[in-house]
Amino acid sequence: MLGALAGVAASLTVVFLSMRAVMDIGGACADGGPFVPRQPCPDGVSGLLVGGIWIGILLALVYMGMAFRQGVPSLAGLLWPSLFISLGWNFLDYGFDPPMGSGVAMGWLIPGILFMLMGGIPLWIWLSVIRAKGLTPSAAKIPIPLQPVAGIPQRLSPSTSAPRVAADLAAALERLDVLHRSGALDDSEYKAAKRRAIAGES
Amino acid sequence: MSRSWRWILLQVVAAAAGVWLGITIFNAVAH
Repeated sequence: MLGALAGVAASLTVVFLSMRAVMDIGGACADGGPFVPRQPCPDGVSGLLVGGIWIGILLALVYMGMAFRQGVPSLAGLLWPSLFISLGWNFLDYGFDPPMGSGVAMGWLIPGILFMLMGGIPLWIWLSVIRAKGLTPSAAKIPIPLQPVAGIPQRLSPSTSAPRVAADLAAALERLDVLHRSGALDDSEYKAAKRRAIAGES
Repeated sequence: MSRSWRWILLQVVAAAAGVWLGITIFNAVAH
């Protein structure tokens, strides 16, 4: 999962730098095809752009899938804003100070503002959600009935058979383990809850 | 430090390593 995230970050960086390289020569280039391009691409940049975009998308999906499956908090909500804000930054940077000609390039400023909004608004929403709910892992949001954890000792009737009690305890311990691995319970809370569950059984 | 925050920290480090890797790849390929 960490490898996939590093790959996504690397792809984003490659796309960001490739875009700047293309903008350095005026914002458009072409290679091959039936016509002789008026503005050839800087060597290797077209491949980097296309490769960076596709590999980035693929690795982003892998990263999000693995984070969800493992139930760990992820930075997936930041991927979209980071893509649009970084590319929007390029548009604004070159829009205010175009490498060719002088003055302000409106053709770059407008997409720059649009990209900033497309990245900034989801980022703002993501931050508000994080502030309200914390970085809860996606998998841990699946409701887990807590009743057996808290109630095993009290709620079992005296007639409950021993195998039943053992099964309930096992289920409770499994749930505690899920909560602990997801980060909902820290080490000390996990140990205390586990002790309570085991003590209540005997 | 709770388990969640350890994960976040690890991911931030991985992302930073990715940025470094991206710069290295770009500098190696693009001329």
